Amino acid sequence: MYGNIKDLMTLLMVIFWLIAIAVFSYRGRSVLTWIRPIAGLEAVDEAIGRAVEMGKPLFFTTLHGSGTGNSAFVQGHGPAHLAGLSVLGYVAQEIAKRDAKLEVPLAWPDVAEMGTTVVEQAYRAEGKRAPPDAVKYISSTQMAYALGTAGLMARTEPASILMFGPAAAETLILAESANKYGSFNIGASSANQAVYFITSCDYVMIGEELYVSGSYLSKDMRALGSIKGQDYPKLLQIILYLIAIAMAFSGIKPSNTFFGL
Amino acid sequence: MSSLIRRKEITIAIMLFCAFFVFADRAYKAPILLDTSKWVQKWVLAISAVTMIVTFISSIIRNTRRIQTSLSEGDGPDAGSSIVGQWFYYGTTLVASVLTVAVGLTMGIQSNPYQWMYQYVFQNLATAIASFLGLFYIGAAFRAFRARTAEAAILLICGVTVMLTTNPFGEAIWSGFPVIGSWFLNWVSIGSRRGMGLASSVGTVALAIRVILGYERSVSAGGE
Amino acid sequence: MSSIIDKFENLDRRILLWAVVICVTLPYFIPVGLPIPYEPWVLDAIDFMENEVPDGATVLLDLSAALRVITELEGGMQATGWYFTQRGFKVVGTCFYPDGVFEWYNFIEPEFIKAGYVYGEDYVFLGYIPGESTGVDRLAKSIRDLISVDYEGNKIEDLPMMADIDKAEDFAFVMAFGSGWTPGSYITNWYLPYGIPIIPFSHMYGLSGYLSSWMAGFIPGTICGVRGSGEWANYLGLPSTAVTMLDSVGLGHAIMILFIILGNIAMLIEKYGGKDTESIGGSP
Repeated sequence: MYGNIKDLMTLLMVIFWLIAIAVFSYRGRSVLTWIRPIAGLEAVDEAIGRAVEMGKPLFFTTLHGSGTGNSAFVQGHGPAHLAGLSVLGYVAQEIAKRDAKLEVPLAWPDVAEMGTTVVEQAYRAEGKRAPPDAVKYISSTQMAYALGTAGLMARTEPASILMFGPAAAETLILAESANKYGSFNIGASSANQAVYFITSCDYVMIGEELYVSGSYLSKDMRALGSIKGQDYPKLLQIILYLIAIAMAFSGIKPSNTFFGL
Repeated sequence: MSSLIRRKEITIAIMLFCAFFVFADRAYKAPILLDTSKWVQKWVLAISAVTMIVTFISSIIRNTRRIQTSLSEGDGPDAGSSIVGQWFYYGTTLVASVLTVAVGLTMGIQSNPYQWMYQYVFQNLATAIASFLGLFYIGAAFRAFRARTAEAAILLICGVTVMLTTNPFGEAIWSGFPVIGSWFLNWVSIGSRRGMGLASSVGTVALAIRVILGYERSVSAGGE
Repeated sequence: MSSIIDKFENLDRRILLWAVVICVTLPYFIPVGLPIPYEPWVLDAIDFMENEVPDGATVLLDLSAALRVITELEGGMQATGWYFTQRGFKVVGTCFYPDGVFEWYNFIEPEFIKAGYVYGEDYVFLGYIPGESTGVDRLAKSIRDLISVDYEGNKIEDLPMMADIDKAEDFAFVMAFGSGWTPGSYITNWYLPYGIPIIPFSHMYGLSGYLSSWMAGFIPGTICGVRGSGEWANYLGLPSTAVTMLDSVGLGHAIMILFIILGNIAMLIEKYGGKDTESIGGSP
């Protein structure tokens, strides 16, 4: 009736996460002491400034992430697209404020619809009208998207290129193309593609840095509080991993214990 | 009425409902949880299928608009943008997508014309595009594997050793290459990937919770 | 001499690309016959199928590989279809990429027909199911609840083979072809909750992702890319394009490594060789 103890432990962990993040977000400013500066995110303003100075567009894409069909959110990498869109909100608002140009080629129709909404909201917040074709849906086919975006880069020669999202095979094509046109590149990926960004981008963020980027840039106290809040469940997980490692070294199989690890 | 439906709280409530039942079904075996999670997932699949139609229609609209703008050669709100002069490519996209749908709907997807288009046009184009990736790999590897700094030298040694491990020439040159390369693959590479994977998973959970609670303002609905 | 080193260090990419293209296409005209060492993860996958799966077992075959990787996996698909018939496996086929339909009818079903398999009794094809990881999860819970007819339009309950097959626990293992993370979805949604073994058969790019699952014991083994397809076909003793492609891959890698090493030698000679006195500022 209670299912597998492993799943029960997972449920308890998620409940703990929920509580920790909710409590710290609610308390916001009062609990926030310091968040480690992330170089790539500090450089986003530099990328925007470069686009303003040079009068060339700033490119923003949430990449593709592999898969087929017409919805990113059933592929399993929806959260990474959401993370990218949250950065797009900040970038679009800054671009609107400084009257620069923005190009947003996206790979999934549902992400493109959300991106259009995000850009329109950002421009509206600055009292301006969003350009009608800023957000472009390229293609849901991975390589067609990659080559279409690379072609767009070749035609527009952007000042800065920001790639925030789930990266897969298209990463190398986009990163190499970005490197070719002398633009200022920032890449952020959740998975194993960091190596391609490292060879071609000026700043790279890996792993969790992608997921906190929206909150980090927004400087919203509740969002920043939630970043602090997620450290405590992480700490608990690290302790559990260390206990499991110690058990494994001493010959006890961790999955047979109460921990269900 | 529409402003009531578009309120952020309704979106968050729907998200919480769906997430709770799908997740609880994993942790707690109860018929109501299983049935509700199956019902939620059925809707997900249905919406995913319907987005194909939405994609097709919006693709037609967008490409038609771009052809008009491209042909107008400098007039209109998109003057000077990257799409001027590109009408041929947008036209090709339009014609190809309409033709494929028309043939599929009228003759069926098992018909010879449709199978011909799939096998001799789409498959070959897909394979050719994928082969571009190989060219990019070659260029990137040649540029990246340069021992300009100590870190780059370590990257070079690891990369070349692993390449020699997976290559029959490597074992022929020296029997130690597969041993060292396997060590890099099985311990160093996997260890670091697991670390990154754990960090990403942690970030995914945290982001999902922030979105559900409405703290990610950019992506939470509600028209703020 | 320094001009040759300069030229090599700043080699025009087109020369490098042409060298690789020539090395990759050469084995198609002049078979090289390089030795084929087996990777341990491929051997483990073969060992699992040979020793832990009984003859006549029910297997789920997922063909979620995009067409762009078909050249890598085609040989492996044909070898898999042939092997399943030799072992008398009952096969339920499906795909979460629409390209899987093409792969089924061109690479898998011909092997079944050659072996005298009867549709509905020995194999069934469920067709394309949208919604990658969601669909995989739903398939594990109940096939009948997810789809009511197979790809041919037959009702699932009318197919004799499907009488006892409805959920994950009814399968002995899953062979999951993929060019994305669909095989990984099977690990999350079929192995972790129900303990069904998964053998991911991915393109070469996906190998590094599945290796960590193999090392952790989540999967018995994995077969990836041209290399895996060639090893699998070679193990079964089947003539396959994958085996020829192994020569191409080997030669292509070899020429790449040669250029990388020569480029680095040129760079090091330029950095530490004759130009040092000029860089200090004094004239020789």
